[in-house]
Amino acid sequence: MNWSETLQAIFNVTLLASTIRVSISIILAGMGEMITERSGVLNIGVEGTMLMGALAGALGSYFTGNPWIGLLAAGIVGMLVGLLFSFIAISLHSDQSITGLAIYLLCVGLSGYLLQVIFEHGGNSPMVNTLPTLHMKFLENVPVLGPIFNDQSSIAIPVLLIPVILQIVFYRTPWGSWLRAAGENPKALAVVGKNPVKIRYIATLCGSFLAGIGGAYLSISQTSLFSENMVAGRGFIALSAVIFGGVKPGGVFLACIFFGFMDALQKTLQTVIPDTIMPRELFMALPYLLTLFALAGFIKKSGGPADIGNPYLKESR
Amino acid sequence: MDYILELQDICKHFGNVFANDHVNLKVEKGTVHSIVGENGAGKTTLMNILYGLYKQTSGEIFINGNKVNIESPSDAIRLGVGMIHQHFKLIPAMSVAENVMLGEEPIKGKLFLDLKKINESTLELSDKYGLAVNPKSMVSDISVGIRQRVEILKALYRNANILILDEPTALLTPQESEDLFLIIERLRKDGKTILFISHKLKEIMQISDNITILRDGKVVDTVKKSETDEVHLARLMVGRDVFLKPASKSKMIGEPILKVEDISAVNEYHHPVLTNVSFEVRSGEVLGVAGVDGNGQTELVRALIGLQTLTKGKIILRDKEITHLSVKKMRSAGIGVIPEDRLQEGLVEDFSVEENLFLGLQRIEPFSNGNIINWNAVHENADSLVKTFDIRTPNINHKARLLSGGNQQKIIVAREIFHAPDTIIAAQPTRGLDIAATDFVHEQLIKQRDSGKAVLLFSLSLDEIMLLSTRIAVIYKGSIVAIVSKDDVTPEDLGLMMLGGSYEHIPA
Repeated sequence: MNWSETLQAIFNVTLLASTIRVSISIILAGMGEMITERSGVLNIGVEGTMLMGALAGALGSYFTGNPWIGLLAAGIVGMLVGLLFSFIAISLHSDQSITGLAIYLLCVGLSGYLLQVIFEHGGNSPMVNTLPTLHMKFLENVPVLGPIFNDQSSIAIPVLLIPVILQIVFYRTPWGSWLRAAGENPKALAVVGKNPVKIRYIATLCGSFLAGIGGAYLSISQTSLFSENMVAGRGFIALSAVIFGGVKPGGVFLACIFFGFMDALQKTLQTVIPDTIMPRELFMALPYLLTLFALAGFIKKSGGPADIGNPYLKESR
Repeated sequence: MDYILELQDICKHFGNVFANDHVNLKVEKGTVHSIVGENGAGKTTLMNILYGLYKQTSGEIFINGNKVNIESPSDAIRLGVGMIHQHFKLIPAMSVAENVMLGEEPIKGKLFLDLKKINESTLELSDKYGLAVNPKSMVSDISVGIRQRVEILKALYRNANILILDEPTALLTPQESEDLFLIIERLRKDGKTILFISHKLKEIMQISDNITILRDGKVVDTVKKSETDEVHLARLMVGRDVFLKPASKSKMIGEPILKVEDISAVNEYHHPVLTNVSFEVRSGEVLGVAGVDGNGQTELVRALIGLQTLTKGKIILRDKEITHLSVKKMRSAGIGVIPEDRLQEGLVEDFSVEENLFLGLQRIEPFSNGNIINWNAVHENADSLVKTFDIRTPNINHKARLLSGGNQQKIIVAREIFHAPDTIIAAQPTRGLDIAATDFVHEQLIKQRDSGKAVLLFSLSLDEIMLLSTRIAVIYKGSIVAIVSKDDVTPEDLGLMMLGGSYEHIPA
């Protein structure tokens, strides 16, 4: 192979289709975490929530044969994890970072344990039914768009619309206004008679719902089984994407796609040039590295919520 | 007489502290009613109760003659009470109009914000009262004075008839304050009732109809503006019925130990907080700094212990310039400080009494050789200080958190007095202490004075200043406006100077 052939083998529509494919779970988790963070809550346990979602998705699909029930189960289990986090971090005013970390560790252990208990062997679940893919006739003859968007998971296109919906919700609805206010200055919200605690709960539960679904996408769409630790850092990548994207729908979306692209590129490189000089680990570390640079000041002000990570205490003097 | 608002026997306790003690208040409709008192008199607590942020321990509230139950700000808003907080409750990342409408947004199509109406209504309201705000500006981009108007708009938008302004001029420039008074006058003419919280007598006399004076959580008196004056108010506010004996006269006044030469500093908004401050404190004297809270005392203390960046000037301790030294170096140069906020800056609450008694001295002989702590010396130090200063603690390993405020204060006083070689800065050293503990701290400060140290005393209590000081410096808006000998001045003169009054008639 000469250089141009190699480049063509790497940079083509397949890479873009693959980018969308691997981005979906990051977008789901990223959008969820963005909602949570906008309300002033930092939930770094999103990786764990995804893991539980992935397990619940596989279990739901396995026991009912219906992957859609699996998807719903994943969302609900995600919310349960979010509820536990919220109770500790919001109601009990615990340190949000430590709580998130504890939730993550709990979920890693719990998902592995449940897998072992339910199927009596560790490692992998049996194969389960997966969500259908979506083939749109009218796209067949459309160049570029056709190969990219056809035969993706049937939830791919709705997921790609989430950032648009959130942009409207955040900046065009009262609910979005209260959500942002809760994250900027909860006391300002309290003095006009809205309860910041309630809003933070709702936001965290919505975020966890999306993270759970993001996990299930991995087990009942991208693959067809649950395996231990299968989220493999995507939750943390989503966290990075939220920071990198300035906690704004458009920015976070682009960051998710960018990190998804790096993942897809890395996978493609492995197949095209098996003993590539670029080690896989370097690609995997790239999102975190970029986030560090972003935090170190390349992005002037992240524009994130002012009160993030701080517990809201009502009668404090 | 019809009262729009009546408070009956309002009490509020925080633990053992009585923030409000059987407060009675009657407010006439369409008047500006000032609630005045020193810091900690319970003004803000009372207003927070009225606005539903705190729940009173006991007592009743009547609005337009009807008994009301205010559980939350929503209740207060519904009853027509609006509050402009001292620390604004605004969201800098949102526009003026969004802030005004927050929680009560106009809706179109059932789901969406009516952004056009949000901006229009804000502008309409702003024009009606001459507030001149731009609804579309981001709050982060506007000045403090305008932010305050946004708060006023928030209340007006919610149809407030009773507007509480909690120390509204605290953060304003003089011009901004004058503008605010015009706005208040317009609101009053429109039939609104204003509750104006302040301790600045000048402005109280300028805008009030009636004035209620609070002291130590109790109502001292309610007077008509026409029947009082600043001197009378100052006396009511400060309270002359405290029976502490004046300190003995300074015996041996020696050379200046601490010299402050022409220092200036600005705050985070780049407003000057200290302007060309100069003074000296001599060996064997107490220099009292008198002033109304917020006139630069906090910044001056911080400057003297190396926490406040100065824009110019020099601080000299025993002929050695210490102006830009670190906190550690300034302390080891010989400055001890009893900080204003003892829980935040004076103690580590979860450390034991003995650890707190050598806090900051961990690397100094005899407590360590620089690296290894000599616990025997620490125990001895603690035992002797606990005895000398009568710190009431079960043992020296007891956590500081578990002691009473008075005993916590004694720990700090003991440590700082004992280990400050040259100069002691005492900032509100007796705030919150009972009479006995106050007396004890006073006695200790005088002892240190007589042992030849220089004592710089900051106090909001004129009594304390008069009791302890050899000389008195009056601070007003970040400047020292006068330094007088204690014997040449009356509390009334001081009170007037503290409020920016003229002092020409006082001999220098």
